[in-house]
Amino acid sequence: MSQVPELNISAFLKQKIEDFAVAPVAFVKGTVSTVGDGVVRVSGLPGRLYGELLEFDGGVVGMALDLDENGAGAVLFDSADVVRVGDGVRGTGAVAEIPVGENVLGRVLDPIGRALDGAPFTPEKFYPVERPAPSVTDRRPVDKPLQTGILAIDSMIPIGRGQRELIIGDRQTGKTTIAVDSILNQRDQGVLCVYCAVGQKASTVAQVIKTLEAGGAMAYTTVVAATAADSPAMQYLAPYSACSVAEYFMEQGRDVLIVYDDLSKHAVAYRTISLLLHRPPGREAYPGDVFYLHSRLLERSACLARRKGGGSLTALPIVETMENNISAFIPTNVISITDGQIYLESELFHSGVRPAVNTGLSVSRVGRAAQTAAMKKVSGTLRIDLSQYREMAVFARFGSDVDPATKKLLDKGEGLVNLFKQGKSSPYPLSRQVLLLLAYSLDLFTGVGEKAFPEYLARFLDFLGEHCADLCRIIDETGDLPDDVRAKAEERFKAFGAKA
Amino acid sequence: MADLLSKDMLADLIINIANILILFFVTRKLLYKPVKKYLAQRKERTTAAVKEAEDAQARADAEKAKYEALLADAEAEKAKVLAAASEQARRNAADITVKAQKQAEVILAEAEADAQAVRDKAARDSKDAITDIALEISGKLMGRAVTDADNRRIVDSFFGE
Amino acid sequence: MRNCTVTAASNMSGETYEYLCEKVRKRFGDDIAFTRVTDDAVIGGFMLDLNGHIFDLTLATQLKAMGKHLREE
Repeated sequence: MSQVPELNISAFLKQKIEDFAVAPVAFVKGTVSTVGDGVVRVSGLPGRLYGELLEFDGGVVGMALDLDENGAGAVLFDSADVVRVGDGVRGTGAVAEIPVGENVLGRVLDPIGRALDGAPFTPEKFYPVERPAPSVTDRRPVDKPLQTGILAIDSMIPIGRGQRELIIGDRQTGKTTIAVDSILNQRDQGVLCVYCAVGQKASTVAQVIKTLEAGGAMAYTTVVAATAADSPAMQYLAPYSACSVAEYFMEQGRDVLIVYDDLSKHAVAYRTISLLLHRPPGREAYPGDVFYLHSRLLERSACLARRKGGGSLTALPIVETMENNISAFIPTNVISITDGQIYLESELFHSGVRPAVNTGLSVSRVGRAAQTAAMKKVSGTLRIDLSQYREMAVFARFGSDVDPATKKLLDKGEGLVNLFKQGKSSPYPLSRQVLLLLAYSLDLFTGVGEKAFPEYLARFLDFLGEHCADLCRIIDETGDLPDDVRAKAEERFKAFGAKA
Repeated sequence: MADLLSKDMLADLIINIANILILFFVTRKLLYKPVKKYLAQRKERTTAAVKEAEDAQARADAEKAKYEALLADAEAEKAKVLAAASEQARRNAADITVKAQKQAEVILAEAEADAQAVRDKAARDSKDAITDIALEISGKLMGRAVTDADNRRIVDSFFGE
Repeated sequence: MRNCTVTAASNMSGETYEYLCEKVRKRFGDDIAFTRVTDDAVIGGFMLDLNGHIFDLTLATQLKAMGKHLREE
């Protein structure tokens, strides 16, 4: 409140009173006929719209999702305790809207735009929560990479700006960690971020916000949160609201990253609403349009054509599976909508491979078009190496006699698996990733062994920091690995290898 | 007595003397020369051993001198390292002081920002309280002051003349 | 036949009420049945409820709107 100096309240109020214009208030009225389970039936309300926001006496807001001849059925955004039969309802004539603009960066909002982080919030501009996706001609192919900072992903499952990449896995396999680390890595990349929490515990959301603050990410991130305590209607709206926030920036020509955490709970919230509105249940009791629920959301992520500003919206939806079953209803739906998936396995996670990415089943349909030149040069054979290693490792477990060539393959593969292990909240810049993979191709990590690996890697990273800073700078600035830089790096790595 | 020196005895004597002479020469060849050679060799060995012992002693002395020199160097080195370490400790202390000061400044700035936020909130709250009271009073007074002419004016304003 | 409920304070005379009903008929059509509700809480002005369409020109609502306006930043 910068315009109100402490002692000049009266001047402020006088000015405000001057500014006030008397205007007639026109709205449409209805009456509450039944209340129950977060769903209210209203009679009256002539001219009611589908998806219209309704205001109940007592300040509660709801959304009309079920229209019939005599009235409407509405789901409430807040708790139903204060709504009674016979209460009045106002039709606002407006559909759900969310504030957008530069001033939402760094804020934590709920899906209808109320601030959750304690500080006052004055919206500049509003966008409707449901918006049409960009048309076919307004798009261009994805060509720029989105660096997540996670070596396993940026090298083998690269994500481009404007792509939708699903993060799928069982509970507690590191899905949110991958998404949050990607947000943390956007600090110097000029990409704005939106984190949408649907149905999460409030403590988990608080933890994520803390992590983002600690990494300096809140300066360019907005959080839209509908926690598990919020009504199903709020949880249903949250991803669409978050998408509108992100779309505003995309239409300004910016690159935006949005994380939906997670869409499984979103589908469950929508199922709850549909069942309470007596809509017919389909497979797994989900309503018939649950595919459309997610497809219209994810289609709003796009890479816009230059004449539309050239901005992009990259989506990282998260889906939780039960017992690694990716053939369940919602996972298959979302897999068919997205441009690839990152598949996390709990066995890998528990055996220490973190991020627990199953590179065999993970894919990025945009692929190498979204990789920097430097990364392309060093990551060509990685997937093949890993799959060969995995095959051989199965055999080696049974017999201990292996010929030297196979042993070398096994050692090299083990080195690669250990190289891909990465800590939480520690994204790697592009130069570090490229040089690590170059060192791998020179067998620097072959035969190090699992126990000694962390210490060896730490020493190597120190070496990189001390002796290869100039090479790192060239790689980071140009995004390429020129031959002379490569030769220099190889020389220095050989010297390191001889010493170690 | 002359028959004592019979031919047999003379033969025996000559054979004995010959035996002795043969024995003498054989012994000289087989025993004397090798023994002399052996003794000479032994003397040589002894001389060599003595010389070796002397050489070893000389080497040991040289090594000892070398180690003493090294020890002296190590002492000097130790003194240097201690001096460097205490210098580093002094610098660290200075760094820590500077850091602590910076931290204190940050904390103060945050506290000031918090205090300002509290002040702003108090200003907002009093503004709202004043607004509420003013509106309540207006409401109570207006009810009495509104005339029928006012009502008609309102009707006209909505529908237009 | 549509129903119109007119809510006004007791300081609105019968003549002004009739004047108002006439204006409503002219604007919205003839087939309207009027009901008058007297409520001093509206302070002044009037409110029309035409089959669920509300037109609120009461002074009470204007006062509330003023309050909301003053409370803005």
